[in-house]
Amino acid sequence: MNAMIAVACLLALAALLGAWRSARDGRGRRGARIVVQLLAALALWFCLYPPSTREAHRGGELVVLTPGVTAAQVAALARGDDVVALPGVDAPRAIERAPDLAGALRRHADASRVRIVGGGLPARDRDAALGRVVAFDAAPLPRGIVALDAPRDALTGHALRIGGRVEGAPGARVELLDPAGAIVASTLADAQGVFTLAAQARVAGTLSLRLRASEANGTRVDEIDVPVAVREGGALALLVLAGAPDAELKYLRRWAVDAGARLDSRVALSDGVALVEGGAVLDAATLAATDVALVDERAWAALGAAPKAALLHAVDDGLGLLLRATGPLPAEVASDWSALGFDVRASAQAPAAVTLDRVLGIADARLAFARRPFDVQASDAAPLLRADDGSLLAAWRVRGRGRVGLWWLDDAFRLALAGERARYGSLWSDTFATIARARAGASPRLPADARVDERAVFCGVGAGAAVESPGGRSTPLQAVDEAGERCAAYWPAEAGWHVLVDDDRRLAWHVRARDEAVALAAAADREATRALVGPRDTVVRDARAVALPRGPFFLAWLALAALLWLLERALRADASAHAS
Amino acid sequence: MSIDPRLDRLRRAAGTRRCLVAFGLALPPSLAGVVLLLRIAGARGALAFAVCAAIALGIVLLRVTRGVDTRWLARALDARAPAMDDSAALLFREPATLAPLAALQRARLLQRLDRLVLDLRPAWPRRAFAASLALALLVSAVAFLVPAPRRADDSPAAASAPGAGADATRLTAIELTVAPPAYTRLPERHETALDTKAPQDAVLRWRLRLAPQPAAVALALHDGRRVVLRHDGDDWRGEATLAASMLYRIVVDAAPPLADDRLHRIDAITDAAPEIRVLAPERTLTLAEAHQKTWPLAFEASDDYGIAHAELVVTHAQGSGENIAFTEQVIVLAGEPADAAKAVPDEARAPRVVLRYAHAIDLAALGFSKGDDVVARLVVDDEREPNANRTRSPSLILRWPADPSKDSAGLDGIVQKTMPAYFRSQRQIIIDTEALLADAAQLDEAKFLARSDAIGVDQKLLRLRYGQFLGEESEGHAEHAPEGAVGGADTQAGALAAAHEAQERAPTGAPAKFGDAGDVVAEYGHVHDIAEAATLLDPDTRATLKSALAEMWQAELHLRQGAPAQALPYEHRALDYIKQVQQATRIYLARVGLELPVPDEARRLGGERKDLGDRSGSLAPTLAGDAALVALWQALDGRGAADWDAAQRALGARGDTPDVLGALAALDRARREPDCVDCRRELRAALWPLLPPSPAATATRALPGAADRAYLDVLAAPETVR
Repeated sequence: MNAMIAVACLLALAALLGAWRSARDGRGRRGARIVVQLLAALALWFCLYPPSTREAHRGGELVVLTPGVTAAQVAALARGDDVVALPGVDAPRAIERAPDLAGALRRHADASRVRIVGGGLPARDRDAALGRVVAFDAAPLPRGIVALDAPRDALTGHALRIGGRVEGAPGARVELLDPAGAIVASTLADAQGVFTLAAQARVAGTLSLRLRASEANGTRVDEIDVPVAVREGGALALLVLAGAPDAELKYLRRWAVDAGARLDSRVALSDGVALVEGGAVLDAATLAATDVALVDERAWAALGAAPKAALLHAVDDGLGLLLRATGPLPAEVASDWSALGFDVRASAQAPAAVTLDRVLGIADARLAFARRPFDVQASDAAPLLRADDGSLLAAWRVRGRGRVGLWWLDDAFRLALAGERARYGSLWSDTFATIARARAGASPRLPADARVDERAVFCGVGAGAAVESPGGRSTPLQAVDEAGERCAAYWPAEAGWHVLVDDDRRLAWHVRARDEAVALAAAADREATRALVGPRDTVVRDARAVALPRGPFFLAWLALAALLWLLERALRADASAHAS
Repeated sequence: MSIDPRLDRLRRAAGTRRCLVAFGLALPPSLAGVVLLLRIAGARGALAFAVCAAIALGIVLLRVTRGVDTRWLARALDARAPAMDDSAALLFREPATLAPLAALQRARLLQRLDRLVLDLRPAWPRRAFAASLALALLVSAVAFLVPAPRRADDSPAAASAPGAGADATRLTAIELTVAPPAYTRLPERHETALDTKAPQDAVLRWRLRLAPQPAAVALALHDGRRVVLRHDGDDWRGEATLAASMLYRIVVDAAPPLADDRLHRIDAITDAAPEIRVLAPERTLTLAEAHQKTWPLAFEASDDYGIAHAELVVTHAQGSGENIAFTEQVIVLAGEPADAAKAVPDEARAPRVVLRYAHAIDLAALGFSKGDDVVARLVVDDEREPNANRTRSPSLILRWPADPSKDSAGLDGIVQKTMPAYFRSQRQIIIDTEALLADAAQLDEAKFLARSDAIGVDQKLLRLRYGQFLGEESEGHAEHAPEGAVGGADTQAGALAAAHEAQERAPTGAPAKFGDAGDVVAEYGHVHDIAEAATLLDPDTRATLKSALAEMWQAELHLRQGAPAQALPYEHRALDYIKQVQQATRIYLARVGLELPVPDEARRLGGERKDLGDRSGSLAPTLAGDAALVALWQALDGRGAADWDAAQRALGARGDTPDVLGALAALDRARREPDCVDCRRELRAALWPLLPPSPAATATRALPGAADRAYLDVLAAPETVR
């Protein structure tokens, strides 16, 4: 400050001295010279100490440029923002660089809010941004497959439903290729780019399908891997009690026997005459060894009080009970089922034709199924199966440690008739998996979409867990307790199928290469960043003082000085001319 | 300015020496560099390096030569010769421009030059030469130590030669002669690869030369057969006939294994059966035209190698009913080559042979007459040996047009007349009536009455036919109606009427059996309609039809009386009613769904069930697919050991699937090269189509934890008092 005052005094003194001498030397253009000298002194002062101006500024807010930011977004930044650019951002040199978001936040200690511009925060920076992000100005997604809805693991023989979205190519042709490179399914994406394809998991092992999107003229848009780890299922103990044989039972029993389930079934043909598989005795021991019982309303009506009680007691102990309505319910059955939580009333409507194309991922089979004309009231039941139009076809609820379900889709067997055996089996398998007794051990949770050099997290792993890379290197995992679960992290260095070895289990999981499925990764970053955006609190729009640039003042001083020099020179030339 | 020749000589000698030194220093490392690049980057890299080195050397030499100029010379003279008095530079200046004193000094220097013995050439830099040589040796040593990389563009033979080392047998010459069967008329061809495609039944002759020379050589085929090669000079020769596509490997005895012992594949191109296209007639069933003399037939037959024989089999069917006689004759046809072969010729295939056959069957000579059929068929054999492929064309039938009247049951191709035909008749009656009224002026009364009466008869016939739908009895016979006009008895109604009449006139004199009281109705009564026909008409339709009949009655009445003008309104009204009937004849059947009737519990299970019991254990799981293939697929997944033999056996048993050979070859390669990741991937790709589909497996949900169980128990517990 003292220096500033000294400089000011010096400058003022010099300017006044110059003005005084100009006033006294008696030569022409006196006023002009004085004015110009004073102006030059002022310009020099502003050059040394530029004046400040007030500009709009959001105090405490940091604008973070993330990879994928477009030139237009950079150009649209306000002047008064504090901007940092993360690595991988193509932005002007003037913008401050930061190695990561946490570092940038340390540098800008006053920043309590973060505004993200560009493709989105990489996984590394998301924790640092938690709770601070107030806005996300997303860059447009790259062209390609940006959403993939495919199972990461499946059971053998199950139908796989692979959906997704292609960005930037509406109506693109999307093809699914099997490991042999043959096209197994192909469809056209709709106007939004959404598509659904189907395949089948054949045998246990890793299955690498490929999804290829191309435009109508054949130019490739994107091609990504669809890794599916196919696992063996477990044996299911199934008890079927039916009042009469029907088509559904024919295909259901066939599937159950082929799939290796232990089938006990009793399908009544007449009074005391039945088609029997296995034991089908309703005693406590048998029921305790059974995972799920499938009973239709006629078999229920024929059940005595003791077997009924045994069945319900077994349900309390964990047995799954699926009630199948194949016709109008007799009053006593309806009251029994109402006591189980399903209040079934015959509705006035005719049996409605419903489709399951979307639910099952069938491209355009247009199979019509018949839904029993029931009005089912079950306040605490969860849906088990819904038709494409949203109408409920099956529901389940908890009873004791077991579950009770009600199924009133009449003819799921049409799937088997239409050659969709895999879908038929998957439908029943998924249904029983929900209803049946809980028996399987807990399985470790594998990372969702692992990528080379990105942190992959496993939870629920045992003590001696290790990861085997495709190259055969085994890395033991260092698990830590996290909210009652043992979790561990791993940074994959190789792309391909890795194996998590946990006790005697070997679970395959896939790691994508860094440059594979780029559009998918960009969309994932974008979604994750969008999820970070918190409530937009009161936007503080204050102003702050910003020094004006010195350059223009320097130029002005230079111009004024030059003008002075010209004036003085001209006067001197005049004077010498006069003198001679 | 000219330099003194003595000085110039000195300068040039020095320049040459310096160039030689530079050249000598640069040459050994450059050569070593070329050798190194030849080793690691191939001939192209080495050539590029050599060119660069030569250019660089040239530039260096040029600079060295330039550096040896007069200034350098003056300095060198000053440095070496004290006699020059440090003023050698004067020697290179024009004497005329010099000051007098300098000119004097210059002259003195020139004089001294004669006495001067000087060698301005630099000494040979021995140490530098040694260093250069050492560097060159080092680089060469590196070049020979670095292993030569395998290059993708090298041919297998070339790659196996240097890369194999001494402990492998190398194939130094390969000749595979493919001699296609004689009938294919394909030339013998010689190949230098062990994989090829050849026509089926071709004779394959191998001539191999191996180094080092083994004791015995054989070809091991994928199906277990062996072709032993015999020793003939330096060569090993053997031959085999290609019955089907095969994989084989060269097996040597008493010698190191082959450097490249992949399975080789020879695909057999099967001889396809000839194809026949019928050019004429256009349809298989042709109706003979009146006075047709001949029946022209034309065919086009094509085959991949050649057609040996074509014959036309003509079958003549005479007679009707059960008394049909067949005569068959065979005409051998000669074909003419068609203009162009259509298929694009393959290298291993000859262009397709296309022949055309034409023949006209002389119907008169055949004795073709009313009611006969002639069936013609072309049978073509190709030239395959020993068993020719035979193709038959579809049967072409020439049929005498069926008699439109009479017997409707015997002939199939005649379409039954349908309802609209009747409606056209009513309209026809109206048209006829109007025509009669128009012609009335020119006609005398008798003729007018006769025509009116004829129309009345038509109207009656029409009324009768509709009456049959309502179960009316037909009255009398079609008086003077021409037989053809009735439309024949080939309609449902006509058949009904005929049956009705026959029944009415049936002799009732047959002695009735006693007690056959139930037959009274059959004996004395008769049905007026058949159930299906009558139920098709709902009551409204029947009423409308009745009204139409009433109008027809009136129309007929006036027509018969010779008053067509009065009949016309009735005719129109009848047509209107018939129109309504026509619209009502659309029949809708209710969709039959899965709505089963509710079982009547009171009546249910009331039957006799003695000796009936449970039936148990009728379900057996379907056989799973090839477990060995599944096991192999899973073993390839991880790094586990695979049961190769079992998988190979399973593959061998799958002879019917498309590319078993490819899978076998991939399996063999993956088995022999356990470290080859690509081989495993290829095998997986080849295995995938062969994997059996498995039924959807089942799973149960995970056991709930202690907290989850407690929560469920609390939920289930009876509610306590609040």
